[in-house]
Amino acid sequence: MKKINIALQYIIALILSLTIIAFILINMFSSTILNKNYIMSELENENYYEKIYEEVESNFEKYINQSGLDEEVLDGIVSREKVEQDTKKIIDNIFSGGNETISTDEIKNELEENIRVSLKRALTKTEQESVNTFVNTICNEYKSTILSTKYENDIHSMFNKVSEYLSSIKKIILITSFICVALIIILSIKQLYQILARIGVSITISGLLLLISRIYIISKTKISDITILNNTISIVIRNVITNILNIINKNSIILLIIGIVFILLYAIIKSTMEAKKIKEQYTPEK
Amino acid sequence: MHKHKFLRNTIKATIKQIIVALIFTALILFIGYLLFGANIEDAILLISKVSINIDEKKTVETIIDDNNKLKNYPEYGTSYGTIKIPKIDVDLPVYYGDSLDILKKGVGHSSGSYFPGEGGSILYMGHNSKKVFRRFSELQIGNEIIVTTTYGEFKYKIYDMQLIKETELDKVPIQKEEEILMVYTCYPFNNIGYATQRYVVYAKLES
Repeated sequence: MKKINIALQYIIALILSLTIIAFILINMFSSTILNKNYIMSELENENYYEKIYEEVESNFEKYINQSGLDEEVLDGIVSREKVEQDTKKIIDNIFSGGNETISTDEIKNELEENIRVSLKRALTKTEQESVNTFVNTICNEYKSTILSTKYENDIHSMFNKVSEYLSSIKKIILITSFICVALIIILSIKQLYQILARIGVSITISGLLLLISRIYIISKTKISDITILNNTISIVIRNVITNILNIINKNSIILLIIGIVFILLYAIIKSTMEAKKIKEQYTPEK
Repeated sequence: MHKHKFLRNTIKATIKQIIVALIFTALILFIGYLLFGANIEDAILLISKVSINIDEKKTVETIIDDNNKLKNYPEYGTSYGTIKIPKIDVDLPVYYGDSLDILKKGVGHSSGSYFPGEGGSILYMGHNSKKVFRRFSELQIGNEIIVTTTYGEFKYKIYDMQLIKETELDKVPIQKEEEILMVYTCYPFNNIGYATQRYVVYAKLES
């Protein structure tokens, strides 16, 4: 009976350790990739808008050489402020479900004016068509560089669903954790100090699992090589992943320390009680 | 004596619980691997697909041996030299490859052609913009083109210029009998939009 009781306690401890991991992971994702403020601060830290601006300009230059037009036609067609505003619009669309669109009218007008000033002559029909194609290409290039996609609303609804799921899962996890702790208390009612051992083991398992997961991810992937969409967004993604791995590392170490402290406390109390018991047995009755 | 026993018991109980924790961790990892192992492998594979190993880029310098054989060919997309055409003040880096990104940076080297010093056809290309080959029309027979690579300097003398259609590949033949440098750009030089003609400059190796 006693063995079944202990086995049951350890099984519950095992479930508790999984709920601890799930709780940490949910909190971590909610405060990082699902958090608009976090993403915005990461972009700010990486000087994202400035880099995107440079990337926009660099991408424009790819087309100027083959267009036959002078490079000067690209001067001042897009500003840093516009790049920042438009990028914020896209992020807002994704996180808050806004419907703001990116306008390229300003770029189009500026570019057409610059071309007109640069050429100083009437264009043939074919040349005009080429200029129109060039202007449209530049406008599309701008949109694609600042990551404007037609899927912003889809991404937003996906974000909403994930957030809702995570919120529900979090509640379930908290309830499960309380039930687990309550069950451990009930099952250890005769030797309450054993609660420390079971909870200590749970926390240590959580810490170990997180630590091993982090080591596995780092050994199997090279975060610094991850390249998605463009260089700027890749840097931000790499930073976010590195931050997440650092959070996992920090949490795993904290959990391991807490777990071992719980186990130590249990061991000290257990030894003290055993010593007391022996002392009582060998003390002659008066 | 009692203190020692107390300490021994405490350590024993601690180690016992830590071993329990380790066994359970191993058990969870094993079950997790059985249940999600394939998914984890897929995720790792996906991450590797979007990873570019910068460290793997070749850093070994290209060299040429006595039989005009190149060793350690340059990596696609990397610059391995410069092209100078003093007559039209051209001094540009030469990149191995001919993608849009490469041509944005300088002169491209068609990957199907030979390298300077190998004794065959070398095909270079560049945009007709001001910074690159806009002034090609000023070139004349006898003008010099100097290609400086990481493995040596090669001087060529222009012996012909031709206007060809973009589809006339037989006008820029790749052969191994004689070292000929062919450099082309889009024509007309001040064209707006896509150009279907190419202005080719042919030069023979002098030294």
